[in-house]
Amino acid sequence: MPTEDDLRALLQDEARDVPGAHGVVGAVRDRVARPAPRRWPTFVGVSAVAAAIAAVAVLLSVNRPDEHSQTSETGAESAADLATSPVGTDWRLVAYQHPGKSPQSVTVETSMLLRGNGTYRIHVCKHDLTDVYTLDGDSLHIRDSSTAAWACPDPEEMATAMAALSNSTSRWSISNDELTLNTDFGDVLTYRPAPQTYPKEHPSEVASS
Amino acid sequence: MELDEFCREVLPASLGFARVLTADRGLAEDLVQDVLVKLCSRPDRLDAIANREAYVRRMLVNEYVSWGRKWSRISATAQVPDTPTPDPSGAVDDRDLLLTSLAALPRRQRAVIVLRYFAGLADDEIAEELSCSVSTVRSHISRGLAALRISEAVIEGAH
Repeated sequence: MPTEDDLRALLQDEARDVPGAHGVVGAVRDRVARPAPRRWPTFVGVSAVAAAIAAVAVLLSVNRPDEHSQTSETGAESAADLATSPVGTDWRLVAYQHPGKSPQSVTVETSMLLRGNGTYRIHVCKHDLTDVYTLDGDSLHIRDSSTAAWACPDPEEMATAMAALSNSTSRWSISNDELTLNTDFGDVLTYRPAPQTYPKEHPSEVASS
Repeated sequence: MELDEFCREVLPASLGFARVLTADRGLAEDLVQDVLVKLCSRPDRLDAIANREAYVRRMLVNEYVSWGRKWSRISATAQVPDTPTPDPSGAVDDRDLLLTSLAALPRRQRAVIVLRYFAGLADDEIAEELSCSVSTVRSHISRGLAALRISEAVIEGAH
């Protein structure tokens, strides 16, 4: 029967069987020099958390830093501003609908904030995901934030979300204080202005460009 | 800091860690590439990283655990040597069995096992590294060791 020492020795042996560093450096240099390839994974069984994060790409695609509002105390005020720009407002996912299925309510608290300085913050589970994005017409490249999924009730959902986050684009509309997103994966997401459940950012930080 | 300089510093350890984490040379290279591409897409931040090796290691783990869709399509398999070695004691058989069992662990269990038994982190350090509780870490370790058929006595005495 193996022991812990056997395990340590085995792992040390495995670590010696590595690819060449030179080839890795060259490949990294090439990938940095060219645009990242689009990843479009088959999207089956996406969770509420996954859908929420994927939807950020849509929100970011309409980023207009000079029109954003500051994070408001009331959701109604935020919703009014979102009619022209979602930047600067926290949104909470309230429902989602997978392709061909009935809408479902959301149990995992997920909020999204788009800052005027070109960065986003997604609060999901106990994590704040923060990174930057770029826009090219209707196309958006969102730099996915590497994070741990361990604090989530269902880490697998979080993992799926991270895969879905990359290079996702969708269509959005706002009506009656509700933001509706139709993702490329066929999911329909509904957002409402978020009550200030999460740590609120200082308005100056939200507004900084 | 230039990419080459950064890579020279972190690559050896990162490749070894990724190799252990993924149980596959090709996957290890992919994993390290992906993490370095992320890092190098914002070179201005490279100089601000205090402990680069630990920082990259954490990114490797997060990428490995979080990249569910890609990694779920790839089943890591232990790379068992082709050449059989005479071993009347059966040690090679045990090693091969351990390799196979290790490669079959769920990603989180494997990550925790690797962080403890390869990187040498304590349970609380693993918990901090992975943003989870110590009890979660110990649960993963307990289940992982059980899957590896490491004796209960060793489990109880670990860390």
